[in-house]
Amino acid sequence: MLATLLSTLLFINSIDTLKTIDSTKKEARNLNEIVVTASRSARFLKDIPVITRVISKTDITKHSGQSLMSLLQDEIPGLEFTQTEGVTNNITFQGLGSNYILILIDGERLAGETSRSNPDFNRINLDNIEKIEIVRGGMSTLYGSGAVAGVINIITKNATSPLNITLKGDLTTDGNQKYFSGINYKTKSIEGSTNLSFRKKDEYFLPNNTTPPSIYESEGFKNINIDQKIQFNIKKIATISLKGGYYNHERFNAGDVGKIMHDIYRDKNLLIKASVDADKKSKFEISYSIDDYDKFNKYILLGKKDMNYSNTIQNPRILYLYKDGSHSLTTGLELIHEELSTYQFKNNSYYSNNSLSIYAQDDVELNDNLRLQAGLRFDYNNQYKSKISPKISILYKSGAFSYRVGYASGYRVPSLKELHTDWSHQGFFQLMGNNNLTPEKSHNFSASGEYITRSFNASLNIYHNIITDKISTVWNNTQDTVFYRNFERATVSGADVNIRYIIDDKTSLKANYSFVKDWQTINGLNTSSVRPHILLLKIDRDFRLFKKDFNVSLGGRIYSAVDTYSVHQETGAAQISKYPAYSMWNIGIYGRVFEFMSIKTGIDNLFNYKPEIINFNSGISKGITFYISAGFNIECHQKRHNHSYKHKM
Amino acid sequence: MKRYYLLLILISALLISCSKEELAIQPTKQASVSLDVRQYDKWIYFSFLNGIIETPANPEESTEWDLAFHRWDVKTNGGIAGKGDGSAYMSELTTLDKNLIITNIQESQFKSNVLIKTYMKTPDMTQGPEQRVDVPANPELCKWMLVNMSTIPPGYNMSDKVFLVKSASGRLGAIKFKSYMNETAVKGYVTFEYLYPIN
Repeated sequence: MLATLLSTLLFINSIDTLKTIDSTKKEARNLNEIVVTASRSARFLKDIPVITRVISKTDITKHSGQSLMSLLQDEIPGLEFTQTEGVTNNITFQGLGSNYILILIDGERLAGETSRSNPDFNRINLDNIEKIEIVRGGMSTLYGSGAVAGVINIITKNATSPLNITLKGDLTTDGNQKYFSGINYKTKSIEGSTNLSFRKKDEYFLPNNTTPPSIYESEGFKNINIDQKIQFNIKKIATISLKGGYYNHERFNAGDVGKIMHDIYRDKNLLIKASVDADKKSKFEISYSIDDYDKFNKYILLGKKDMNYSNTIQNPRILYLYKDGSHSLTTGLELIHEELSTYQFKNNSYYSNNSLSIYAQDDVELNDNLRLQAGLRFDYNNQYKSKISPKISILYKSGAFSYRVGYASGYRVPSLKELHTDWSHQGFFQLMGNNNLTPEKSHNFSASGEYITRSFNASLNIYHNIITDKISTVWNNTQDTVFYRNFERATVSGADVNIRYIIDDKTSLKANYSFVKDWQTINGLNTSSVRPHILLLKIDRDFRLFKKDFNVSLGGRIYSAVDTYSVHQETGAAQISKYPAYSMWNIGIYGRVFEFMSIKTGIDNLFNYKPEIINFNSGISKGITFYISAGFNIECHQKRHNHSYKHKM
Repeated sequence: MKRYYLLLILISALLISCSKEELAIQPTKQASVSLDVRQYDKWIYFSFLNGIIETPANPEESTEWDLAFHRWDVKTNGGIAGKGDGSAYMSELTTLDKNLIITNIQESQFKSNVLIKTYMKTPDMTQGPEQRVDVPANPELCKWMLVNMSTIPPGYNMSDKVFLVKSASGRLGAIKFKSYMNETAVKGYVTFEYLYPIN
């Protein structure tokens, strides 16, 4: 198999975006890292009062997996993906599900869901990501509904040289393939990029030791992503940028259904943004984004496809950024218009929703040691009228120590699905929306302490989330209808410890431990299936071989066991489900074998973990998997004082 | 030349005698049929000779039907379900091959209907397990579809075996199930191929 992979790779003359092994000295934390999510404008990470984590370009480059999901699981403590209805990926972060985590691409919301309000993670092309910023805790002040547990902002790549061409290919022995081609270009007045990627996963079966025994059917899919970006720079005071994307995902069940019907998920998006420096202190940003996500059933035998879902989000926005002395002010006015038509509405009806919001947030440097971030948002929704969301965070620095405390009020408006669904679940029961739902409210308290030196970085974060008027589904008395209702109060508390230790200039160690206490008790019994402990470990070392730079890393994700109960609403009878602990390990080597070519190879699921019983949170794997990736990159550099180009190769 | 005519007459006579034999034993027909069995509260009746038929006024007294389908349940016209001679068993064969069937048939394996518990109170599945009722069904034919409810979504396992069936008149037929979905992947459509009669 490995020989086949290698020969295929030689044939495709593969690639590398894997250009950068850290040539600079390793640092436990990049103190000059600039982040944009916490303020909607560039700030030094070390000066941000809210708890922010960055997955860097190097982390992404060295990552062994092919999907955004595996990257997030490997890098973010307390984040886990489970399988919903056997096929799709359901995110949990700090004990809260997809409804409470806002996923953004370049600061913009994503339309559409796969299931349970999860955005379609496959639409995000890993090879086109510059970095990912994760802001913990409530961020509704800047980002509105849904930013309760945190915001994950995926920042796409921008051109950094006059011309850069990349080709890349990835193969795994469990049937995954990924091919990427990208071109970036940059002149004084124009910069842009065009990326094309194709990804494929084979379907497969796994025996499942349920009672009675069953067969687990893992879906297969084919993905196409096309991204286009262009930016015009006008006299260093204004930029106009356009970004467009197309995504098509065709997935198929491994079993009988896959021979008859495929699901097609398709997205088209456009972002137009103009940015003008009004003077040295202030800047305006005007933008309009539209994201249209549709789903189709493709009937193989009939040779036709029917649309059954269409979700569109339009978001015009005006941002005003002002910086003067110790103040950095972000103010915004935006409209979010959402439309949804789905087979789960009666007669495929169409519903829409409008939210008009105004917000302001100020980052204040009170003195050399003390910084404050305070903000307020006012929303007017056509259905829920007005809503105010305040937040405040404080950063205190003393020598190598930084302390952060914060409070944020968050909210989540009921989705159009929760309001208007009227759908029969294959005749088993009726799922009914509820037009009288009110928005969920959340209160997020967080605190952290961090110790930073060049070779050692340790942080402790704790948080406590209270969600009131939580929307859940309940059965009616005759047990034939399930409907949405505001009735729960949920509290989720947790903590995580993060350590990075630079053992020497070649070797580093990273450990992240997270603990979640998800209180969802009925009659004193835990009904949450969130695993309370997750440990992420990674050790990596640079080395030279045949005068080339390489890096080897060993990583592991260890999930604790959890026992959960399902409790009958009327009789109180309880049934226990036990989900045993498990771990997934990987080892990989990454290196630049030529100036223009990089190779990444290794083993995923090193210890051949296979769950005894496959279920939604058992982790699913065919077992030990080999992977190989090769990248080919040509970059032209601009010489100082003239415009001649030189091929690095 | 005379010899030649004699041979011709002899061959013709042989052919005629063969035709008479065939007329006596109706030719075996191979066909395929799809039935909509989505509704939980009714049986769909089928005759090998006449295809899908109207629900008889009194199925227990009728010999017009050979098989009846209710979701994944199947009954034959015999025993506690009807006054015909219907019965069935699941063979080890996987192809509808008349000669193979004839050489492998095992008369002692044919089983008649028994009572099973199933959902029949409403057209859909809005009914609890305690509302299930006793109905006659053929335990061998019901093996065509095993639904495993231990997973979400449930697992559907369709048998690839040939089922040998005695019709209401007691004649032998054979069926092989092809699908439990229609062309838009809606479950509750049974498609099967059959050979009938097999002499």
